[in-house]
Amino acid sequence: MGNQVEYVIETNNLTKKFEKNFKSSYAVSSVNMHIKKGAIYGLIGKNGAGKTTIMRMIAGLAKPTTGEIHLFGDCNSKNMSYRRLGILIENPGIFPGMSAYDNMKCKAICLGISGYKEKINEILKLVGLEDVGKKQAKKFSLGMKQRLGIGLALLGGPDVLILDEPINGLDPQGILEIRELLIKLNKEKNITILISSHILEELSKLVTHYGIVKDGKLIEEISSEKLKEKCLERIEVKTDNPDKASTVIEKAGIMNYKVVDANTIHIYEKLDELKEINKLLIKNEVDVDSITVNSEGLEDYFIDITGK
Amino acid sequence: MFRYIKMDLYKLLKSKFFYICMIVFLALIALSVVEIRDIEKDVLAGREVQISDSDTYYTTGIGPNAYKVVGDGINLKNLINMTYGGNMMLLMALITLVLLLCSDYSAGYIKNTIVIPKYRWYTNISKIVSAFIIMTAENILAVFSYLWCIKFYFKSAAIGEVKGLGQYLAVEMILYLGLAALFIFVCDLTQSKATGISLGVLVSCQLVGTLIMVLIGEVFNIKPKTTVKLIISFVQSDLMAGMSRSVCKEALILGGVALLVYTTFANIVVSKKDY
Repeated sequence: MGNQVEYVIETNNLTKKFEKNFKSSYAVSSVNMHIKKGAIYGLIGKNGAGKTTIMRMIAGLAKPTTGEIHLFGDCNSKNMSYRRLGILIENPGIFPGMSAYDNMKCKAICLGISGYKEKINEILKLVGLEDVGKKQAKKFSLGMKQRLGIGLALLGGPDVLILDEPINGLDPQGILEIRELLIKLNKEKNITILISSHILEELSKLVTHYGIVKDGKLIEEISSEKLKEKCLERIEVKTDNPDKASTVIEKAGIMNYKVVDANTIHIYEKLDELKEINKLLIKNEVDVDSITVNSEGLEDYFIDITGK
Repeated sequence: MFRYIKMDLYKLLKSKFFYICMIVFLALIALSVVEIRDIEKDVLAGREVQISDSDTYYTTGIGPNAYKVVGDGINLKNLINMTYGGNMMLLMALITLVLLLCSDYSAGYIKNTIVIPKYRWYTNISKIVSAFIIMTAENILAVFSYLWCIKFYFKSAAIGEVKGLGQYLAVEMILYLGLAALFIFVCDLTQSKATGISLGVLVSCQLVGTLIMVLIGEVFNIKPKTTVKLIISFVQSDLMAGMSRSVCKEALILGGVALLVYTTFANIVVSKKDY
């Protein structure tokens, strides 16, 4: 007892292959993911990158073709680890003919929660659905359905929440409320959250770690601190000869730089020596189209890394 | 597993379709009673009623059975026998089961609950229990409705042999559960209400059975006499015609085997499928 698990979710070469018309394609390929306890892990990637499939496998809804998933340090999927997960994947799974309370009660019965009435009312209040009464879920707005989906995920006091696009369809006020709710759950109840969203700006206000998925592969895992460092201010040099420019830069003792593409170099040090660097490049016959100091947001970083 | 069963029962009692199916079932019983009463009136008046006249009494699809019920002497077992014979009980029970099963899939609620039980196949066992409860609810409804009719409506009806009725209902239940397991398997596989309900209608009107019989006959050159013993809806008809020891045995074996085989298939599907 008392043996702390470093990662609450860890995947090892997680792969999912689909067969269709005798052709196989990889939705997820060799994903090694590491989610620490208490983290808010943002999974980002383009549509069809494999985010939902990864989440479905972690949640136990889909079986991996190969690879392992360690939940709370345990890789045996037959044990009760899945009960410690609260999930909202794709659309919220709710019975349209039932009220919010009845939908919650169904899951509460399944989980065997004693004294569920108070717990359900507490969660409904938490997600802002305390006043809906006996209104059928089919008459709910998209945002209300989404909140009910989050409420269902919260039932049973999960240690980890897996939320796939939870702010889809919410108005700005709703997005703010959900963000505050997730931060509160994370801080006060120490719930680890795995979340995906297309609204990167919104995600950047929440997450502590990022996992960037491209074509079924996890191409980068990075903490928000490191990402901030990477997105720090830099000198952006536009030139048609980056190789020559990088040689000149290195001779000037600048080592922290990156050739981004065939026309761009990013320099992450000596930001106050813009003029000197410019003079140096011109002196060494490097054609400089432009040289500016700017910074990169999450969106730019994401586009940089996944390609346009 | 008991929690899952409890949840399914809660869903069943909370859903409109359960009550609608029960009301339709009750309405069909009422129609059949009116039909039998008309025939009874003719018989009591000394008018000879020919089987060929059955077209006149075909409102509920149980016309020919109604003649048999009157001919054998109206009693509780005969009346209940007739509801099975017309397959309306079966159809209502199967539709209720399919709607219960597929609502999980169509609403996506299955994603909330499938990982909760220790093994996924617990969900199928829960559905078998639900099927048993649906059928029991129908049995209770049928018994009390007909008892009421015997007391207040028919002139010449009797309760009849209770033990025989009990045995009949028990054997019917096994056959029904075998069929329910097939439907659970189909619903798990296709996750489609339309497929489930269509299959329910086709099975109830014995079209599937007839097709299977013809196919087996053509492909394996097996006589229909043998094939009918392998098809639940036909064995059920045999049971309705008479509760002989051999028919009972056949029904119990067929129902039991179907229950076991289809449940195993359904469990394999649920264990392997992605949600």
